[in-house]
Order: sequence, then C-alpha cells, then structure tokens
Amino acid sequence: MKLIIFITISAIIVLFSSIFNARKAALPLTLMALLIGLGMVFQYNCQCDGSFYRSIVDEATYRNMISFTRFSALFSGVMLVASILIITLSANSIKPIFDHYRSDIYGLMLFSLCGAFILVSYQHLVMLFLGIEILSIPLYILAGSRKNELASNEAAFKYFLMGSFTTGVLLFGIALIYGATGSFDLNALMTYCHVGQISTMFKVGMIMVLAGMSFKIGLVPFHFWSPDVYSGSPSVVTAFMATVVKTSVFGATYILFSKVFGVNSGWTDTLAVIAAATMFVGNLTATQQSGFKRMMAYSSIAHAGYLLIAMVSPDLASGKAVILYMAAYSLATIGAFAVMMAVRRCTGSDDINNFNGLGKSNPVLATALTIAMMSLAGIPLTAGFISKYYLFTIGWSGYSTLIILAIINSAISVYYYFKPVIAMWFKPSTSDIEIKTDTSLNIVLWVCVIGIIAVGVYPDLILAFAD
Amino acid sequence: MESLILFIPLLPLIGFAINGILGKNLSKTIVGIIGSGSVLGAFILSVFAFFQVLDAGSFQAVAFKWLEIGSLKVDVGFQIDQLSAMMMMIITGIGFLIHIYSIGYMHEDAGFYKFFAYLNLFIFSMLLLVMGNNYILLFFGWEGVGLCSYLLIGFWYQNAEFGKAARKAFIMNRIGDLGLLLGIFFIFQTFGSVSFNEVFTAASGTGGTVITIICVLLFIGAMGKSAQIPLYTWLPDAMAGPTPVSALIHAATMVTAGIYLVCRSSVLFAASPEASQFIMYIGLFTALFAATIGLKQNDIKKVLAYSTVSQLGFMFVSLGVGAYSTAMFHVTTHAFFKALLFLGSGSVIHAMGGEQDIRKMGGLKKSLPITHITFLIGTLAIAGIPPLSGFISKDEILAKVYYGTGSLPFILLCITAVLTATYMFRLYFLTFLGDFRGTHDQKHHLHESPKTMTIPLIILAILSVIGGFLGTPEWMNHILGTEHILDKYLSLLHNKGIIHPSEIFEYVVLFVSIIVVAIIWFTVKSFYISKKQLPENDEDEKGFAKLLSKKYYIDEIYNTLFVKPIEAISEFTHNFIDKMLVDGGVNLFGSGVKEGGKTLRWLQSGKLEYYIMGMVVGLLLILVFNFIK
Amino acid sequence: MNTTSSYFPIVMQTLVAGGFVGLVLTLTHLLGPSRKNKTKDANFECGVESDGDARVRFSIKYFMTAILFVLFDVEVIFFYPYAVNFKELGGEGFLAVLMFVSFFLIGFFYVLKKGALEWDK
Repeated sequence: MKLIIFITISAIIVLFSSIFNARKAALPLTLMALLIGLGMVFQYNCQCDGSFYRSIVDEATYRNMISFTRFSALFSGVMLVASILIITLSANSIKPIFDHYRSDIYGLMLFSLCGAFILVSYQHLVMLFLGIEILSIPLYILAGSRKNELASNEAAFKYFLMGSFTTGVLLFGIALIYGATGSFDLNALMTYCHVGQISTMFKVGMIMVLAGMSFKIGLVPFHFWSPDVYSGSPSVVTAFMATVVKTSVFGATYILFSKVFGVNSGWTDTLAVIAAATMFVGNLTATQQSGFKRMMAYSSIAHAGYLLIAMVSPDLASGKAVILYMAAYSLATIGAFAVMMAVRRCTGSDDINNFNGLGKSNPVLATALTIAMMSLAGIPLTAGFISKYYLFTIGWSGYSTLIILAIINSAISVYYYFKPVIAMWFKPSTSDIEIKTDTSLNIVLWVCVIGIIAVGVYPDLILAFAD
Repeated sequence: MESLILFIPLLPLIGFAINGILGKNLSKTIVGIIGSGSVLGAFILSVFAFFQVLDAGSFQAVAFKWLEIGSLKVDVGFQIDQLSAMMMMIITGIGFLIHIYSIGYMHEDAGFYKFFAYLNLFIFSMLLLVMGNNYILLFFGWEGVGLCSYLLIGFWYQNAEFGKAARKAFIMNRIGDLGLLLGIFFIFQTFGSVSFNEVFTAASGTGGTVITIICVLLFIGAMGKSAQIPLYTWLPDAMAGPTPVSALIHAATMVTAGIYLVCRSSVLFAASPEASQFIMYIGLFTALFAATIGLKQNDIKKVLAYSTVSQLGFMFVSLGVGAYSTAMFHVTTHAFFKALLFLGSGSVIHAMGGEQDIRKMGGLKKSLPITHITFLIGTLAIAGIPPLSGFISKDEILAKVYYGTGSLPFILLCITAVLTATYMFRLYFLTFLGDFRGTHDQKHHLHESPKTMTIPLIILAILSVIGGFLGTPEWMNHILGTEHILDKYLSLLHNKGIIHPSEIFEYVVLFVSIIVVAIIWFTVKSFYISKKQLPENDEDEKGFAKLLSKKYYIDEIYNTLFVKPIEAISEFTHNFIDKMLVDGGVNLFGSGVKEGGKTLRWLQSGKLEYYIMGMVVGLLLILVFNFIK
Repeated sequence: MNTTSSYFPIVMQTLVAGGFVGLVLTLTHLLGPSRKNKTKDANFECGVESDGDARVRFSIKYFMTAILFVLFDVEVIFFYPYAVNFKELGGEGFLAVLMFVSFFLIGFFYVLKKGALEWDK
C-alpha cells in the first residue's frame, strides 16, 4: 500500500515537473521513484516470512480492500524492473517533437503502474475494477501519444473503444457475481466457491469477468486489438503494454481464478480451450508477419497462451511459475524491443528486412537480439527455456494435452523467432545505413542479456524470492 | 579456504575469457603470462587444498544451488578429497608446465592467443570434471574437455585431414558420452540423487544387476574418453593437434578422466564383480593390442599415442582387479613420463622443422643434448628400469594382477611390458642415435629448443625419476624404511583387499625385468644401430608386420562395418525417409502453419466493428459451450 | 424450475422474432422494385442539396471546455451523498472528501497551467 501511495505521489510530481519548467527532471525523477519503489518491494519481501499468498499483519486490510502480499510484492518487483528498463530505454527514443510531453508520458506510465500494483494486491472486486481502469485509461492516452501520426491515433481509438466495451462486460460480470454471492470480498467469494453449490448466475458472471480480463491479456478471441494497437503505439508504450500490463492483469486473473475461485469451480475447461486457441492463433499468425513489432504482438499473444497453463494447473507452485515466466518473458521482450528501436530509428521502419546484415555491421546488437529471440523461443541456457520448462513441469499435473500442444507451438514459434536472426547473420545488408546505439539503449541491452543468461543458468535468482 | 576453492576453476576460466576476448589485441608475451599465470594460480591453490585435505580430511565447497527440478537437485559444489586433490595437482601442475612449454612451441603461430584460450578452457573443464561433487557437474566437465579436445585437435583447421581427425575424436567420444549419460540416468533413477555422497551412501553394501548395468554404462563413457577397445581409434588420429595438446590432453590428463570416473565410483564398481571383470579384460586386450601396433609405427607421435592407449589399458586392468589406488598411482607416473616424452618429441619436431617420421631422423643426440637426456629418462621410465617411476607403478599393477586374478592375464601383461620396452627403445634409437638421415636443410637447421621448452622437460624428467617413490614396493620399504604413501593417502577408495606380495615374487620380478629390459636394449640397439637396419616402407612390409603397420586394419574394418553401412543407411534415410516422409511431413506441417497463418491473418482485418463482433461471438460461444452440457 | 424446458418459451420467442425480421427483409428485397440512379442514391433525396464534407473541423477549445465541465461537474454530484451523511461520516469522512477535493484541485491546477482554458491563445 505504501508503494501505491508513493508511486501515485511521484506520478503527480513528475506530471507537474513540466509546469514548473523542470521537464528535464522528469526522467531522473521517474527513475528515482521507480528505484525507491523497488527498494520498498525488496524490503517488504525480506521482512516478510509469511506464506506466499498471505500478507503480513500490519499491512493487511485497508478495510478489506487491498492486501499486499509477497505474491503482490514479487509481481510488483517484476513490473518495476520492467518499467525501469523501459523508461531508461525511452531516454533517447522519444522524438524531439514529442519531447514537450515527456513528463506527461512518464506521469501517465506511473499512474498506469499504480493501477498495475492495485491489480496484484486487490482484496475486493471493486478494487479490481478500479485497478483495471487506473491501468487502462493512461494507456489509452499513451497509445495515442504520437499525436500527429495516424497509426498512433488509430491505436488509441481502437484500444479505447474496445477497452471500454470489455470493461462493460467485466463490470457486468462483477455485478452478476455480487448478485449471486452478495459480496465483493474475495474471502467471502472463496468461501462461496469452496463450500456450496455454484449457481448459474455466478458462473455466467465468472465467465464474463474472464472475458474482461482476457481482453487485457490479449487472449483469443479477445485479442484482436493487440496487433493493431501494438504496432500503432510508440515502441516504448508497446513494450510497456507487452510486459507490465500483461504481468499485472495476469497477476489479477491468477489471484481471482486460481486462488479465489479455485480450479474446481468449472472454468478451467474453458480456459484450457482458450489457451490452446491463443497459442495457435498467436504463433500461426506471427509466422506471416513481416513487421517486427506486429510479430512481437502475436508473440505476446502466444506467450499469454503458454501462461494459461499455470492458471489451470492445480499445483500450488504455479504462482512461482507465472512469476518466473513473466520475468523471463519481460527481459527478452524488452531486449528485443531495444534492438528493434535502434534499427527503426536508423532505417525508418521495423520491417524484418531492415535487420539484414546486422550481424556484420553491429554484432553487439545482433548478438543481443539473438539471445533475446532464443529466450523467447525457449532454447536451453536462456531464461526462456528454464521458465518454460518449469511451467510445463508444473502444468503437467493439470491438462497434459495442453502441454503437448504448447510444445508443438514452441516448435512453430522457432520459425518466426529465427526470422530476424537469420536476416541478421546470413543475409547481406541491403542498405549502408549504419545502425547506431546510445548509452541508455546499451545499458538496457546488457541488463537484459545478462539477466536472460543469468536466470537461464540459475533460475533461483528469481525463484529464491518466492520460497 | 572454501571460498578460495572456487578460484581454482575460476582462474583458468578468467584466463580463457581474457585471452579469448581480448587476446587478439594483446602481445604474445602478455597472452602467455595470462594463460600460464592463471594456471599457476590454480596450481598454488590446489597445493593449499591438498594440504588442507591432508590436515583436516575431505571437505565440500558449495558455490550455489544450480538446479532444482522435481526431485533432481544439483549444486555447483566442489568435493575436495584425496582423489580430487591429487587430480587437481596433476592437472594444474602439468598443465602449468605445458603452458610454459607452449609459449616457446607455439611462438610462431598466428592463433597463439586462441591456443592459450582453448588450453585455459580445457584446464577449467578438466578441473570441473574432477572437482564436482555430483555426476551432472562431472558430465559438464566431461563434455567441456571433449569440446576443448575437439577444438585443439582441429587447431590447424586449414588442413582438412586434421579437421577430420577432430571430428572422429568428437564422434567417438560422443558414443562414449551417451553411455555415461545413460549411466547417470540410471543412477538417478536407482538412487534418486546424482550427488556423489548420497549415491555412494545409498550404494554401499548393495549389488545386483542394476549396479552392473550402471557400471558398464559408466565404463562405456570411460572407454570413449580413455580410448579403450573398441573406441580407441580416435586417439592416434588426435595427434594432429599441436604437440603440447597431445601431451596435456591426450596423454597426461583428459584421457585419464575415465580412470578418474571409475575411481570416483569405486563403491559401485567394487559392488559389481562382473563389471570389474569386464573392465579388466577390455583393459588387458587394449594394452596388448595397442602395444603390438606401436611396434611398427614410424611417426614419432603415433608411437607415443599407441603407447598411451596401451598404458591406459594397464590402468584399466588395475581397476578391474579392484586396485584403484594402484591405477591412480600409474595415472600419476604416466602423466609425468608420458608428458615428458610428448614434450620431448615436440622438441624434436620443432628442431626438425615439422618432420615427424623417425626414418628421417637419427643422430639427434648431439644437436639436442637436453632433449636427448630427458627423452632417454622418459624412455627408461616407461620401459621399466628400476627405480624409475614407470617401473614401480607398473610393477605394482603386475603384482596386483598376479595375486588378483591369476596367471594368464599376468603373462599377457608381462608380454605387453616387453613390447612396450621394445617399441620405446626402437623409437629412441632411431631418433637419437645413429646417423642423421634427414635433408641437408634440416641438418643445418637443427638446434636445441628455447629455455621455455627445455625447463619443463627437465622438471618432468626429475619427476619421472622420483615419482615412483610415492608408492614404494615392500622390498624397497624394507631397505629404505619408506612406506607406500599413496596407498595410505588414497584409503578412501574401495580397494579390494590389501595384497602383500611375497618378497620372493618381488625380487624375481625386479631382477627378471632388469635382465629382460637389458636384453631388449642390446637387441634393439644391434638391430637398428650396429646393423643400421631401417624400418621398411609401409608398402614393403609383409605378413604379420604388414598387419601391424596397418594397425590391424581396424580403421578400415570400422569403415566397412560401421561408416559405410551408416552412410548407406543415411543415404537411404536421406532420400526416402528424410526427403519423402520427414521433409514431406515437415513441409506439410510448415505449409499447414503458413496456410493457417494466412487464414488467421485475414481475420485481422483492422476493422473495429468486426473485432467487436468477433469478441461478442466468442463470448457467446464460450457461454453456450459452458451451459450446453 | 431451472431446467432446459423452462427456457423453451424464450427460445420460441427468439426464433419468432428473428424469423420475422429475416422474413420481412427477404420479402422486401424480393418483392420491392429496385431503381438505382444518382438522384435516388443521394443522401437526402428531397431537401437541400448537400454540399461539402460532413466532417467539419472545429476548434478543440469548445471540446476542451465541454469535457472539463463534465469532469468537474461530476465532482459536485459526489458532494450530495456526502452532504446528506455529513454527520455520520465524521472526521474520517471529512478527511476522505478533503483528499478527493485536493486531487481535483491538483488536476484543475494542471489544466490551468497547461493553458487548456485560455480561450484566445
């Protein structure tokens, strides 16, 4: 809770920095706030020796609205690290004409982050709804933050319309659940699900809430927005959506479905089918893409499909698998985006052909992207492999068919993940534009690459926090 | 101390990183200093570790928890006990000498920094292999040394033959590795752990078929790495690598990894008499077989290579009769004198400007005085002149075999020992005595090697002389009042009963061997020096000699038996199974993926109303399917 | 009560409603005469001749003022329930509302400083 308050206040300060003509301070202020936030999370995780899903007593209730557990702390930690990387990445990537709005962009990101924190720590369905809204509304604006680019406008508009539509569905679901149980409180819902018969109204509500959440995660058939929005939004925002937003909504869904409703209340079959469909749609469509960002959008859809394996697994350790997976996925995605941004800045588009010959002209970038792609594809010795392995092992006790489908999908995914890799190393360069990088981009790249390999060789770096 | 232990493998790794990444831009002197310095550091720390073990017994140093998947828990942890401390000293000590030697030997080579980077990586992997406290880490090191061996055999990759030799070594080793890996799986399945302590605690006192299977599988791994029949043919070919590599990897350290593996798992092997028997016979035949081939080789390094295979056979025989510490003893002395011989041959090759054929040498005694003396010491050591190290350790193996199994293996081993002396003397006489048979240019070029090369030779020669006193036999103990240091030191190994050979036996062996070696010396000398006989060209050999010079046609047999059929099968599979079935299948899968992708892409029309429509239809479908049943 | 058969009337009604719409649409399409020409297809067949694009740009200032009005207007609505329960909610309630108002004030300040309300700039 302290974290949420702190980040909110920092967001306001960052927002006001432009008014007081201190726009240059926005970036350092934001980074500082995030780092302090990370410190708070870390300190919380250390002093807390309770169970993974239960909060320590003194922070517990807030009128039963929010309970910040170690689970929340870990998710927040992953999101904070991702945000730090993304904001570092943005230091030089915001175009000069938009520099005027820099403080607004950071402020909005911080607000969105607050919503994300609420989403991993809510104890009350109203807080869930508020969290989703606080997360989304800044995102609608962020998606359109390149005011005079048509694609960006389109992205914002689409995202907003469809987002409000599904928020309606979500709210309807919450209302039905309230109607069936007479409570918004998660503890009460848990009792309801585990004790008596589940009524039809509750079940419909549950599915509608699931639909609402699925939209934010980008699960089939609620995924349509993501390719368009991902490719239209500025890259920094896309990276933010693909990592932080996804992590938080996944955390929220995990809390509500796996922990509160429990795997026996009849939603797992639906979700398993959605998982399979999501994997296939994501991976198959990704093979057809020629733009890197769009490809990554589909890749993120596919990864959400893999992650559902943890949701439908009855294994108690599935939360750990989600965290490990999200951390691995975020690192690789941000690394890949960093390279893509460097290429795009110098060549003007993110078409995969623009990666041709990068292995010769800038081997550092090429190596970093190769490692990121290998991690996303799940090649051994990367974080992506170990997290996938962990996820599949845990998921085996649930739907084993799903695991087999997931493995087939991993094989398919290699096809498109290696497209840019092949382009970089084996195709001759088509133009003589030099791809340049800058310090902040290099820092992010190194952090991502080292992180991917370190976690890949030694997953306990992250898992140790969840014990 | 425990944190310092981590630096033993870490130092060579750092050396590898520096030389590998920056080496191109560093001067040769600095590369050499970094390469050898890191190994020297590791050696000094190993000595400390050794004394720590002497004082306080074995200990473990766990760096970090590595993996925890289900019930499989693997630490990156090091087990420092008598066995590993000894191996560490051999690896880093001899490794250091060979690094120094390489500074001189490789000085003209363009890939100087790469060479040192690989060597350091090898030392790192080898240390990991012997220091790891579980089978997974051992396997990691095992693969690492295999990789380094491959890289170093094919170091002069411009030569296609050398590249082939490297591939052969790699493939042969992979066959063995498969056995080792299966063995590890079996161990994990049987004992539920891969950590040495847990496995050995669980295994002590057990027995039965499972243990035998595990032992045989582990031994198959050892066969590959330690070049035993039938997986030995890669080692002679591996001589394509630079000579320091042959000395370090293919004589002193890596090839003894198999011995180490068996010694490390002595609990298991002691529990399986069948597997032990198997090992003994394989070792015995390898020893004899390789020694006969060695008689007719004319390449100075090939002779030494077959000799290595033969000596490894000796070690396995010793393991087979349950004399684990004796095998380790022979590993140690062999490391000394074989490294010495290889480095000496390197010095000769260096002086001859790359010539390796002993028929074109001769009379090098005068121009290479230090090399000559040290090589002679090495030859005498391996031939078995008391009290040089080779005699003492080989004598111990013979005694253990005589009392352990019986007379037939003993006699065969004695014959092997005689053959060993024969081919080694032949090598020595043809190289160093008689008249020079090379070209005029070569004669002009002859020179003693630089100090960086001769000093390691001298040190190794001294070690070859005194190394035997680590394990003095009983008659010597009586006279000198010494004791068998190594037996006492390696008491953790599960030796099969302590055998006390009778003094008469020992004296008989002693005198007989002196006499026999002397006879061989003079016979060979009269043949090659007085009568000035030269080995004939390979094509002119007849009968059995031809069989020997052609190495029993084993390479050809393997070619016909395995390579050709496999090629035929792969041709078939390539054309039929792969192209038609698999490629067809994959293409079908691929085009399915593509077509599916295209269809799905079409769904992504970009029109908002369709998207929302799709979502609503999806939601309705989900609701319907949830309530229809 | 909650059996499948009890949904039967609903199904029937859905079918009838849908069927009727479908039937009428099909029938008009089949029976009605179809004449197509420029005059017929114009947006407003009878009336003023249409001129130019319907999508006219107008100043963002109107829009800004309007949306800001809506935003701050909502604030007032929240005061009604608070005013009614003023005494029951006590000090804590007062603090909460104070926080609420201060957030709005911060927003207002931001809007002001950003120049959103400067009409002639």
